[in-house]
Amino acid sequence: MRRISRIIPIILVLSIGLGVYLAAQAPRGVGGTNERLLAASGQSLRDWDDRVISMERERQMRLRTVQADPLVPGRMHERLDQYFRGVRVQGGEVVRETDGQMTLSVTASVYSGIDVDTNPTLSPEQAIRVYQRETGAPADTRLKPELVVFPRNDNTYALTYRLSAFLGNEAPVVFVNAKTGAVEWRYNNLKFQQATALVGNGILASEGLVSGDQKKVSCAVQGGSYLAWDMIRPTTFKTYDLKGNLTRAKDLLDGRIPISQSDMATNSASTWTDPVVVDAHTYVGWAYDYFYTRHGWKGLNNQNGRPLYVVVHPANRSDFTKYSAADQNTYYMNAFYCGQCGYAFEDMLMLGEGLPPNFYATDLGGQTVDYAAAAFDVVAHEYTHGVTDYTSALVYANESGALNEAFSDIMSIGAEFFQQAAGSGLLKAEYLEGEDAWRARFAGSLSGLRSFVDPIAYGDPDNYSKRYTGTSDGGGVHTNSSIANHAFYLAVEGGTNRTSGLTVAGVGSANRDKIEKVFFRSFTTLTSNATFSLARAKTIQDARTLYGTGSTVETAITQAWTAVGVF
Amino acid sequence: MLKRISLFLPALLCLSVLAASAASVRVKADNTPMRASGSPTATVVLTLKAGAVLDLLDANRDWYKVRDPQSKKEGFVLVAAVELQPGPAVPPTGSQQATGTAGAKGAKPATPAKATRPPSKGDWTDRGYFSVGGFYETGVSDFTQTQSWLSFAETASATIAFPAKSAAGFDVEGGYRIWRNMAVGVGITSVSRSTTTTVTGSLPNPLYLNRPLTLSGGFASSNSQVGIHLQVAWVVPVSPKMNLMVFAGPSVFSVKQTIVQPRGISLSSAYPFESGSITSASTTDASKTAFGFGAGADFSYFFSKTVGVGGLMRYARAPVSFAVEGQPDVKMNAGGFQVGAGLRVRIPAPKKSAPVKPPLPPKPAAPTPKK
Repeated sequence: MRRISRIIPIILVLSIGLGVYLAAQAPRGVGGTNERLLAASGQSLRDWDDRVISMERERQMRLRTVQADPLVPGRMHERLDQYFRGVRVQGGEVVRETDGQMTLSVTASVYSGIDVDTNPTLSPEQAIRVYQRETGAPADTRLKPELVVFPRNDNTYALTYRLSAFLGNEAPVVFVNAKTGAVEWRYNNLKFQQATALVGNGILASEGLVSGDQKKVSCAVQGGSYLAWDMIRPTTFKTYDLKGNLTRAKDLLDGRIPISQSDMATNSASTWTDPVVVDAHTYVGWAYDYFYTRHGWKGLNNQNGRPLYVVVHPANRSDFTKYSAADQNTYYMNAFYCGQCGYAFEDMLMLGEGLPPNFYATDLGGQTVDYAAAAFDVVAHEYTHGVTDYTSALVYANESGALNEAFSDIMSIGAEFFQQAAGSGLLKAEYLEGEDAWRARFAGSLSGLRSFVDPIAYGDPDNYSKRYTGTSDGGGVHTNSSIANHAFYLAVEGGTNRTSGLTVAGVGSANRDKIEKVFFRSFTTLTSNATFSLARAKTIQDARTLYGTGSTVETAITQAWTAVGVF
Repeated sequence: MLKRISLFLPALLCLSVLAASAASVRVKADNTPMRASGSPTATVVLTLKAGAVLDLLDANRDWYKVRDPQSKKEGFVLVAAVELQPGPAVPPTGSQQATGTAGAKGAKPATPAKATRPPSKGDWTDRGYFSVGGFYETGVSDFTQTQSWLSFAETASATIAFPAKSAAGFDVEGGYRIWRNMAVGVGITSVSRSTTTTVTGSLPNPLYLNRPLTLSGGFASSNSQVGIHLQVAWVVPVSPKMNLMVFAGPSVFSVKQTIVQPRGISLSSAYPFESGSITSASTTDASKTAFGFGAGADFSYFFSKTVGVGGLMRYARAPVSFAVEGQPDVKMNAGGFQVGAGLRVRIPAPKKSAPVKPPLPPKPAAPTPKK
């Protein structure tokens, strides 16, 4: 969640300690080097293909996943992790695109010059204690320390334990030096938004804001009552109504207690009465349908293999003032995706409760905050985080984090146009993120959290030269994402970047799906520490693959990245 | 044929309707005058000899307008001075003058018979008829059955179209003459057909409101109909060997029809739910009696006194409706247009009861002049 701080009457600051800022630029200094690049043709491709094969032979590259390309038949994307003396190198990855025996591209982030002793001094238990001390995690927090080689920003390496957990308001990932016990880096991996069928009215209809917002709720029937359990789609979605019990909601999310069917949202009548459940449950399904229909992508991991657990009503609006600022931010004014969070490492999606009457956020001139479930793009945004987690797993900090956020925004806008009629206002598809839930409170205030059309009006950079380089919000993941969002917009609709003054001839809204497909293909096959520059190279290459070299799609995407200052 | 025409000439005379070339008269006595007009005082155009044959052109009560075929002269002769004979005047060979005297020897003058009832053309004398054959029916029994039901919180609807289909059947007919050319009879037809129904409709999308899926599919169905056609027939013997019969009357059908049971359609559709198809249909064979009307014609050709072949056309139609629980009635029509052929048997009347016509007048000998 962005702009978490300005809310009346409280001011909250979610402090995220960033130990290290991973620069997007090539590493400087002596020691190791990190090569991040896309090799898609010529000698460069042949060299990198040979190099990856040779590293595989030496067990320095190990296959993690093989993904059939959903858009180009016959293509495969193999994702390999870099290892050093049997220890995984954080951020060392290769995505190899193949067609039969032939390698078509290598997207690489390979570290060299690694020179660390791979025998830890600390035991995993000692690392856990460091994590607990660092994050305040309770003693019973479940942690699985993983020994990894951590590339420091100064091009040196450290042997570390990587630990992560969901802790109620954040999901800190901490790299603990396995020799010294020092914290090498920490970032928050909680992916915030910003922050049968039965029919039922959606939130906006129930609030009298729109009419005719009736939806179909795919559910299960059990013992004469209906459960918010999608039995129709090929994967499982279940929506849980925590009835305002924040303690229980947190316990479910951090896996302290197992998910129980007694928490599943139920309805006894043939019309679903809780509009929050109607929207949350329906919109997750709509997001699934978008990915399936537009991109051929089945569920979160493309194998329909990961159920998604949606949590609504984590807290009561009437209890708003009783909670800490952190809880208010997380469970009222936000939505998040938490991969493998639950008791059995379930993938979970939490949708915040919104603000009580008479409270509003001071962002963008003042905004009322409705249930996060009221905005389809918010749900689709969080859903996309799940897809990212199972593909490129873009590290949720700095440039890769901004790309992670941008991918969620871009897919959510694509999904919105897929499911809703274009236009402005409630239940309409437009280039604003979250505008159905974050609504202008006063004349002159803005709706939505981010704008693809005019990021500057929303306080976000529209050009790489104006990117945020501070440490808050994971290095501005919700801020710098607008650079890529705006590039997407320009590639589709065309227009002029306010900062560079460069004009892009877009492909037109009728061809939006082509730009969506290119971004989908690229962002699911990036390395986890990808940069804007790598995203540019990959999207241009994928535009060629999908629509041909010299195609209007390639031209539009190239112009768009150039216009937003990404080279 | 010729004989029959001569029989009803007197009747035609009474009506003063004659075809100019249809008949002729024979002069009874020498020196019979042909006058310029139908008056005893009119100018004599020609003096005729006994036996001269003249074309009969017109007639009134006392005068025939005639023409001498040789001189082409026209005039009037007294009815009493000539006798009618069939056929056009055939000029005798040789040099018969307009006043020629040569006549057929032994030809006896005869007055035209005055029939008590004018005999009709093609009086039918058989006692009755019987036929058996096959036919080809173009069905009128196309119909639709609609069903609707609740599915995924919306209404699903299906229209099951049973197409009209041509089919072969067989028929047995029989009739009995009751008055003149009229008979009452009964025909029994039987036809059954198998068809593939098509199902179209809309199926609610399980996941979205107002985004129905197109539904398609089909299944086999059958229809059988036994019809009993009561008929009043009019038989016209167009020749001794040929009979034409037209008939009409009420028809009763016993109809057996495949219909789909309530909510009897099993559907399949799969994510992402772009269309639905019928996987099976639960059906019943419903029976119903239907009342309607039929009419047709039969043309027979007989090889012998009793046996022949014939062709038949019939159109019969009877509306029928089947009730389906919780769904609209299924309405269809039994019958159709039949074209058939088969064996024809006529049952001759006993000889003694045959004369239904007045006694035939003496048959005049054909004028066969001898050289």
